Amino acid sequence: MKRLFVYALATLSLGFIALSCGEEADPFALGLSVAMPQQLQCANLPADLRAQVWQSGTEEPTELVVDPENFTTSGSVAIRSGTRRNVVIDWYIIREDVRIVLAQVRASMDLTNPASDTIEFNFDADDISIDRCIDVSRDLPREGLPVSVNNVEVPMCDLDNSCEGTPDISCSNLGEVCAGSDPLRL
Amino acid sequence: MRTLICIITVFFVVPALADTAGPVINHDKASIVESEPLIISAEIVDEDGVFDPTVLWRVPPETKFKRAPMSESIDGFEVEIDLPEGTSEVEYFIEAYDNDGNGPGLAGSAEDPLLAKTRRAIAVIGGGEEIESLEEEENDEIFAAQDPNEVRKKRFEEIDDEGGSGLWIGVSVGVVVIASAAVGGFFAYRYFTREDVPSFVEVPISGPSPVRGTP
Repeated sequence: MKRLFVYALATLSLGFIALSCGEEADPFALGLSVAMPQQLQCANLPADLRAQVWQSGTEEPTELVVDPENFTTSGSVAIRSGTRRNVVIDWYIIREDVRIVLAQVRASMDLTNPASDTIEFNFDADDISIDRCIDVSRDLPREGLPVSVNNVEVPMCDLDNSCEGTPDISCSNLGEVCAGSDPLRL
Repeated sequence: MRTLICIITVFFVVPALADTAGPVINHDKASIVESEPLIISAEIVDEDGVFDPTVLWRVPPETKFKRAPMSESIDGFEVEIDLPEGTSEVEYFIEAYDNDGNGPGLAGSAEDPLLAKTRRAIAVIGGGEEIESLEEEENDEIFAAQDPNEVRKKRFEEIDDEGGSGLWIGVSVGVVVIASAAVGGFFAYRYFTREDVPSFVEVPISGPSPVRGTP
């Protein structure tokens, strides 16, 4: 009987080993954002449009360069390897001391065992999301969570919540800025 | 870290759960009765069952022990040893393993054997009735040694071993050596085949802005 008990424990141990030695699931995998679209034609280009890149595992973003003439965004960020990292680029403006996110690009990069010390991250207009944004100011990911403005929870890319129930992106923060209206107020 | 947990589990936790104690032997010292075989009995218990209970005995001044396998009896295990005529003292000890090979459990040892002496029969005649009284002998209950390492050491040093415990010691040492070599080899392999992974990766970022001007 005791031998059976020892065999049972050994079997359990092997199971434990199989579990503990297996590959870890990555709860942070996001993949590229494939929400609606885009590079909006903007009648009122915000002169103070800025961009930052966030990476999972760190709390401080890195500034990117927004070229207002060529309508491009570029820069570079050093990311610690050894695991999969989520990367989020925010475009934003500051109004009334509020950081208003206008658009985002989200991606997941596998840096577990990088073959090179430089990996390019090139995105295009289809990767940009204007209507669905996540709050990455504390950590990643918080997709679907609204942000709070004046103690009212609102979508991050639609702070006045004017897009509620519509697929129209002209009511988003970016749509309203381009239209010359106030994204903080209806 | 996970790998370390695996190794600790495989090589240390699982073996630690196994029973390694030998049988417990409870024995009342035997006495020699003239012209009769020496009877040595003992209660020997182990939860995994008792294997190869044996009395090792010698008549002083002999130095080598002879083996006498014990048989199951009503009260435990027993053996009858035919002694040479006139034998007055016998040194002996009892050893037994369990069915998993743990042991030996001992009563006495090669280094400190038990002594069986002649029990003198005194015939007393009184009231027409013959009464046999016996000179009282030492009657200590002896418990088996429980430290397997100590027992094995003594076995190696003192008795003409037939290979039983030596085999187990050899197997144990072999397993430890192989396990150590495997663990060492694993880490050596990991060390020498590791790839130089950069701790930081530089990620140049490039793409359009979310807005463009109107034509």
